[in-house]
Amino acid sequence: MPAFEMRNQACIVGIGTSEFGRNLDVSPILLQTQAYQAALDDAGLTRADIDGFSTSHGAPAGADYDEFAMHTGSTFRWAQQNWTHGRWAGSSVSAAMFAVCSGLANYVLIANTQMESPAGYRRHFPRGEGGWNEGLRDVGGGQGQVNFHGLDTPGSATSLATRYYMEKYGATSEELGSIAVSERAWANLNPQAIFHDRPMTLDDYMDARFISAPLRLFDYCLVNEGAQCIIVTTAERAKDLKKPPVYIAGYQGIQTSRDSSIIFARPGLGIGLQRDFHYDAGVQDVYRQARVDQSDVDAVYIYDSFSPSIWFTLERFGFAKDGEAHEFTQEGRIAPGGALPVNTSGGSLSEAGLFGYNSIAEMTRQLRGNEAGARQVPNAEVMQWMTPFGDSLILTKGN
Amino acid sequence: MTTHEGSTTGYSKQLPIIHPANAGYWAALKNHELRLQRCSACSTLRYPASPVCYQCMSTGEATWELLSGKGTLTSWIVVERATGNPAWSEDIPHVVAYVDLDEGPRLTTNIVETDPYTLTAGMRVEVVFDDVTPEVTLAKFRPAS
Repeated sequence: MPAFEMRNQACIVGIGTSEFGRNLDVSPILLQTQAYQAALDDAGLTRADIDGFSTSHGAPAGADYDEFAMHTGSTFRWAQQNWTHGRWAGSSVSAAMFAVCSGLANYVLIANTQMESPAGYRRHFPRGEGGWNEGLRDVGGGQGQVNFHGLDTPGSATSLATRYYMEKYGATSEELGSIAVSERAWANLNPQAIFHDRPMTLDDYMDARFISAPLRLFDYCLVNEGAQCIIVTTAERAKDLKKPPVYIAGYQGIQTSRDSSIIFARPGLGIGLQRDFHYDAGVQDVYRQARVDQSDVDAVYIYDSFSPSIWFTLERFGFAKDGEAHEFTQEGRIAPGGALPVNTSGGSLSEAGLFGYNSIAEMTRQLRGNEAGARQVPNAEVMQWMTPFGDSLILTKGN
Repeated sequence: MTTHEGSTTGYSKQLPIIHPANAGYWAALKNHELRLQRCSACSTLRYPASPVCYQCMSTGEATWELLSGKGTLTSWIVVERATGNPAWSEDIPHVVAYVDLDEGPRLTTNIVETDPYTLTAGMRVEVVFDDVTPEVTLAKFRPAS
């Protein structure tokens, strides 16, 4: 037995979003403060209650932890900030969970802001150097970027993995397109989604231009501005707050090795520096922690900066066997009314590109039972966040 | 020694940063040779260039071994929009690819001198040397003759 059992020790008690939009001419501090205030109101807390802070998106995409505290007059006795990059949503939530469970903080604000417009600090980073995170590397790393050969975006690297998957398993562009079409259908049910009013058919998807073949325009996530805040506290404190607590039942962390290159592909695919082997998901730690398995999960939320991540991640966590996710995701299975709803807010492809924090907020709305409107998953009790990088969170109603 | 700016040569795409750990790779390419490190401790052929062997974690000597320059096309993309560095727009459509060298390692590279939409998995390819600046030569590949 581990010394600490995480199951149902901490809860999400507040969520708040800023406005979402494209080319918003506002500062990241303002966006994040809008989301902060909304999350406080949602939880029935005040600024004085929040004594912990967790983020992954500091400058130049969002606001750094200390800068944010200064502007908002907040006092945090525990703060942590991950790499300014995608992929850290689950880690940011887990850090908050560990902090409240150990008494290092009572209420932790998890904040994430995405600022692409020149109103943010990106004005200092002209295009052309292949990005300010992995683009500065000297060959190698999760995204596989090699800028001097023109592999200078994460989408390009994902496209290389996707071509390989399609060749290896006989997957088609139409099958890939059904992912973007499904997420769009969910977004059409979500008034806050950037693409709420823009229905999309498979023909629309196929007619859109290639960005980096085989990936087309709608395989890419939205590039936008927006902020999402989430408040975490202990299960004990959560009972006294405004909304029904949503329990953190299980978590596992980001996994990495040479088999994680390219990071968006699951291990064993054999792309980048990966070895090529038969992949078996086995029993992942997150299920052991939460004491559930895949058949208990009512909806899944997947890091979808690019649509093929849905295939790679469903296989990584054993919802589909290796090479079978392209068929598993067909016939409306992941769409509204399907047996396994995926990214019910519209995800990064169609709600907003916020690196998954918006999906964790959506899981919270769904599990509260009355906040997801027309996209409410009936009798939702167990929901799972998971990424192609191997990390995952399971949230439940606490039963 | 750093070659990061191509502005003096009219080459506006990003250039590699050359430093002691990878200087052997770039010096060989400048001589139109493809060389990768072979670990003197465990004989693993190493890619990308690194001060440490991923197999045995040796930071000791590695020799820069001359390779055949022959390989097989593993995966590729056809870039139709330069969403990273806009300088790539002039090459569109251009191909970024993985080539599995006959000696083992998989290189990230470009496929040139052919129609991007006629490529097939498993195609045989051979190296060509592209002197993009007086200091930097890139290893690219074309269909094998």
